[in-house]
Amino acid sequence: MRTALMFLLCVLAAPLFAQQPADEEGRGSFRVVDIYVDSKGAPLAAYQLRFSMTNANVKILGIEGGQHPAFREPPVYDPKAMQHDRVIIAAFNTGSTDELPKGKTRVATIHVQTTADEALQCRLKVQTAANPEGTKITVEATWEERRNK
Amino acid sequence: MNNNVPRDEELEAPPRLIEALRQASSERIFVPPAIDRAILKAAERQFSHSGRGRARRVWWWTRLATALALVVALALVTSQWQRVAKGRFAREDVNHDGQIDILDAFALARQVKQGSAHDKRLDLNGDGIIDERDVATIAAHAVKLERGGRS
Repeated sequence: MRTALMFLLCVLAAPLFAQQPADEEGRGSFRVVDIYVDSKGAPLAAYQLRFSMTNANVKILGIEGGQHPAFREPPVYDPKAMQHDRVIIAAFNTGSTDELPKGKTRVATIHVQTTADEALQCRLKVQTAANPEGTKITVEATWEERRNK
Repeated sequence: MNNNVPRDEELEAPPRLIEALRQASSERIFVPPAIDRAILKAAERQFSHSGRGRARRVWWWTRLATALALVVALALVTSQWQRVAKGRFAREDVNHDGQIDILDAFALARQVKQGSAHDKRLDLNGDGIIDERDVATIAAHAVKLERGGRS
């Protein structure tokens, strides 16, 4: 009788143990995405980009500034984007032409959390960019997942 | 040439016809009253028909003219409204490109830096000063997710 009761308890408890790996999976992995803007030789004074991820169960955790001194401060973004899968980032610098990046430069880094090990699928769209005079310029925006933290 | 054919000057009406015509002009011709009334009625009918047709034509032309006038008026009002709409920008649209984005914050930041920000409409936080806080207000507006960050 006691053996049967133990067996029944084990059977009932099995699903609880079985869920543990799923919970661990729920904690997910932390990933880092670098955002680059290439102004094709023109001095980049301002940019605005829309970043979104199409993976399921992916969340933005934080946003850092870029590499170039002109954009080292974190860009402006809506705090509501945290814990969500899309964000609009923007920044400007009123410095002189000499102080601004002119080629491809990392303007921001986005930290995300995913529940799956699949490759990140991101979309990046340039909304606007300008030179020091405020004139709109054509730039190219790209993203790269950082492999070594 | 035929010499037997009389010339125009030599033509003369027969004497009996001349006499009958003389008598006819002096005699009064009797027209029965029934025929008179019939002719009058026919004339009335004729004139009333043509009058109604003219009235109908006038009515159609009036309608057409009114419709044309309405179309022209509508076109004028629309173009005027578009002109007014183009001239009216949101306060945050500093560079007047019809969109509120980071370039507006950048434009205001440049004005603040140069000390040329005097437009009181740009005092967005209403503290009486146009400064970096107003720039930050525009930047925050530009990246808002609910609005897609664009106006």
